[in-house]
Amino acid sequence: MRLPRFGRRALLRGAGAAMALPFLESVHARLPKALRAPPVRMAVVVMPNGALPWAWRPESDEQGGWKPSYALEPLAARNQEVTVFRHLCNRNSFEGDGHYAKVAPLLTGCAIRRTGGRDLWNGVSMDQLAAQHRGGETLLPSLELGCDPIYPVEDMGYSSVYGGNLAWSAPDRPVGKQIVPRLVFDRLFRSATLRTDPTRQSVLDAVADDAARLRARLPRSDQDVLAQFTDSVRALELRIAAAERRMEGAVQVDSAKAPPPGVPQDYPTHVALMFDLMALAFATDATRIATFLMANEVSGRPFPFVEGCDGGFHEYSHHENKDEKKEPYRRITRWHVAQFATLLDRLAGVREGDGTLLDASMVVFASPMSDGNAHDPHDLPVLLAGRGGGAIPQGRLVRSPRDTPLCSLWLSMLRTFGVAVDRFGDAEQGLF
Amino acid sequence: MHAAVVAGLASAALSQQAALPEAREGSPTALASGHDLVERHCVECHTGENAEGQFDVEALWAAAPDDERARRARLALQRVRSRTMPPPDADVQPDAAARRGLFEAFAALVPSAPGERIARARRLSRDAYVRTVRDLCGVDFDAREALPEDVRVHGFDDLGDGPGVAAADFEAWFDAATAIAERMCTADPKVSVVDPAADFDAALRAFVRRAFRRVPTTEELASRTALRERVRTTGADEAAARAAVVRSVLASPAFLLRTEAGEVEAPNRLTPHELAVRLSYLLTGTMPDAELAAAADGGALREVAALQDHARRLLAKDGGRTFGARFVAQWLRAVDVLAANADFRRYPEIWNHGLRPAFLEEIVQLGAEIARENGSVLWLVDCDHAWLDARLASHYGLPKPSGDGFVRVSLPDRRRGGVLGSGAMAMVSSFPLRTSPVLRGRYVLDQLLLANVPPPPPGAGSLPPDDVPVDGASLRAQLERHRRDAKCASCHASMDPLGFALESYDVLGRWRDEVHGQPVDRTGELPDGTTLDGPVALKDELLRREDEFVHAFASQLATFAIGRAMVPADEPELLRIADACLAGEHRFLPLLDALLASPLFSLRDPWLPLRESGGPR
Repeated sequence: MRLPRFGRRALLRGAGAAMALPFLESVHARLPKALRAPPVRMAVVVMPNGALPWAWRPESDEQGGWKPSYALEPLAARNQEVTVFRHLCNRNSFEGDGHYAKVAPLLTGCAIRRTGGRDLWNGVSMDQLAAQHRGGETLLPSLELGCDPIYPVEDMGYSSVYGGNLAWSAPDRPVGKQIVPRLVFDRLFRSATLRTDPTRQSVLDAVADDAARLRARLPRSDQDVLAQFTDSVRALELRIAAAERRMEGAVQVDSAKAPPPGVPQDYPTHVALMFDLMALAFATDATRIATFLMANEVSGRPFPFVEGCDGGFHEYSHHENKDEKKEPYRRITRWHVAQFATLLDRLAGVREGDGTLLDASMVVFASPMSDGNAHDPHDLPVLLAGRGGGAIPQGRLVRSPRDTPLCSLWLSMLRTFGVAVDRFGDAEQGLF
Repeated sequence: MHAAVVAGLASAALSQQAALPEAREGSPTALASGHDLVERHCVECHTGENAEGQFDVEALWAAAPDDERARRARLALQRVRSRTMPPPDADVQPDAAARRGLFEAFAALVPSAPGERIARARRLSRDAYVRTVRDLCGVDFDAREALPEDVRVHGFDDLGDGPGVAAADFEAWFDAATAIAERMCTADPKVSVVDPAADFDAALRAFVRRAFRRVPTTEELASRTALRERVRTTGADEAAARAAVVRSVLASPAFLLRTEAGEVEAPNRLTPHELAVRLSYLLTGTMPDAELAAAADGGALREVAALQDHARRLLAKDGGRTFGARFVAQWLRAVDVLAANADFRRYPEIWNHGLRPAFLEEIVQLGAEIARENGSVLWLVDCDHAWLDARLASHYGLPKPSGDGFVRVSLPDRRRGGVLGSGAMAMVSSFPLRTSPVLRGRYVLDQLLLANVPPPPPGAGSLPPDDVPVDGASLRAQLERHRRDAKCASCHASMDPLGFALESYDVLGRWRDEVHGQPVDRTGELPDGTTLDGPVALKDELLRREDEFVHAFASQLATFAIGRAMVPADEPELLRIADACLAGEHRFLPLLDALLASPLFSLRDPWLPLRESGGPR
């Protein structure tokens, strides 16, 4: 296993802030055997700008499994733990131009409103639906990660805010993602210090009172942001309540092992830190739901650390069928898959019950377009790793009928996660 | 309404009335109503069933005021602004005043939804937070590591159209409040609110007054008094109780958000405290200082002259530096240079880590000088001097200046001076391996002329990431081929020639006469037939279009000051502000004064009567 910069064991060593105990150590041993199943986790990792189809799509083998394609080669060693899906799509994204109309609805299955302004409209994303149903069981309902800040501009009639948000808690409310690893770390392990703060609740009460009074004085145009403020205060109180329910048996977190402050200059380091945090959050059961947008859509980031990829990702994705662009495009795709493979390594390296953390998880890797050159919304690159606690047969190549809703996958994952829904987006049937 | 208020209101109301279209006294076209101008310049082609481009302008005035009319009027506005209409080969060319008249005429046809014209609550950006905490708490707080990234809307980091407040944002603010309160308690000397020896009620009132940037309400103070008592009853000492009070203030939306509720009796009119906040953050990026706060308390700021006096005082106090760093550098995207990339194998100089900050500083200093010295806003386009340090001077191939740090350097020729000859412009408009005439042309149009070039249509294709010629075809030849596509041509025809003129600067802004052994081709022809050859010719072209540049400055300054994007209904007022600058030798203070005197600055919704609030309260 490739060692993360701060391993779980390293974190549990040394003296620092107290941290709530992970699921297994605290609860597992005292439960009847039948109830000892680890909780299911789910994560969606998204690569922007699509993937070269003939570099991505794997061949099937005789047993219904898949043979690694160029881009999927980094997952070859885990092909029994990964299922690749063909012909999934979001039918509601066929009409919209450009990248943004593809990525924002990836997890909602909706058609987004065409606007460059502030009247955004999408649906509720599957991760947020899960968080709304089950998020109260953990310190954080969900984790939203990314690497790029969003600069709101209008592009092809759409706000670029659409291009930087996978998670939507309401049709008009992108959750916003965190891009600074240190802040994510602090947020994950802050609950314990909050819990030991005797004046905190009184302070929060005064702040909540301010928000309510201010809201009454302000015009309609400012009601939204004051409502968000009040919700945010409440969210913090809920987190503290969750931490208090898990007071017993706190362990130590070595704060010296926290990632360095700021946004890492080096992109591979940034991505690796985010995967570390994702694995850490799952391992400590700080949250069970995570999304990670590896870069905002239309990312023009250069990949000088991949040979022959000094130019911008987005430029390569519009390859115009030229070899000198297709080659770096497919290499960049494979680089993303290779980083994703290290996440699986991290999860597989954590024992839980009779299996690993990966066995307890459902981890998706996807891109909102297939061929970036044409912004093709059909047959998206989608794969799923992990057995979701045993429910999911793995190592398959699943060829669905053409243009099967991607939401079928989300529907199945939601059910496996324990959310009782009979439909999601444009899907009424699941895939497993 | 108080009698004292009336005088101020009257002048605002007058200027508001005069701002309506077709009544601009003193303009050569004052007699020609907007519709007459349209008759003169548009109807020859755009009328009847066979109107060019199926665009019948006369029908616009006859049409019902619906969405379709607004859409078509917006389109007309865009064409007039970008000078694609009237076309360059038209017999009668409008002069500058007539173009403005046309602009006003079409702007009047675009209704704006009430919400569009009211700025929303603005979060303190990280930069504003740091400056405000320094002034309020006496604490230097490093927000880069503690607070979420800012979101830049319309180019600026603290506008009201931003992302709202997420749970993670509040957590970070709450932690920051805790950390700052702790540091205040150990500081020496202490701000009185955390000094157990100071009278609590007086200290609390003073602190909350400054933190909320207005007079606190009775309830806001009472809840802090109660908080202190509650904490004391748990056995905590006075210092801990006061720290809790400070946390509750610094985590409050009244501190973290800049909100505007207006006067109680005239809700559309900003209170003196709200005016003070707008002015203070506009010029100094922080809360009002003691003098400005006192002027707000006494109501003196209701007088435009008082606002203008304080503006001069603040610029002198700060040397215009914050204004240069916050407004000029964000508008001209010089701040983006810190994150801009060049390929380090091709451009090893990028390893010089001081280079990019120096590029930014050059623009900040120039912006500061313009504000501090009441300089010409056109210095941003063309300037006989620049602010350089030894590193930048040597990078640009200029003699090393005497003195340490950044100094004012007289330039030997016009290749440098202003933003076009700056490393900041060169880098933010380049790819890692090559310059981009398209991005540079777009920079000129979008940043300097606010032309809002639309993004390329789907499948428009793109040029190679490198400028090493492939198959003998230069980048320029490939771009020309791309432009033959009709759907690309209209934008590139106005963009590319501007960009080619800037090809004399490499990715890092150094002058070059050759690219890969070939002479730099820096010529291009604008849609009106003007030939541009090199950056000096481009400067001349922009100076010829000075009215557009000054209008862009006014529009961006108003956006930054008010916190929202400008809409067509604002155009007449923006033109008035720009005119004041043009009439004042292009200097900065006439422009700023006109903005401060404008209903844009003093009313929440500049187009509603004073008493109306623009929405239920």
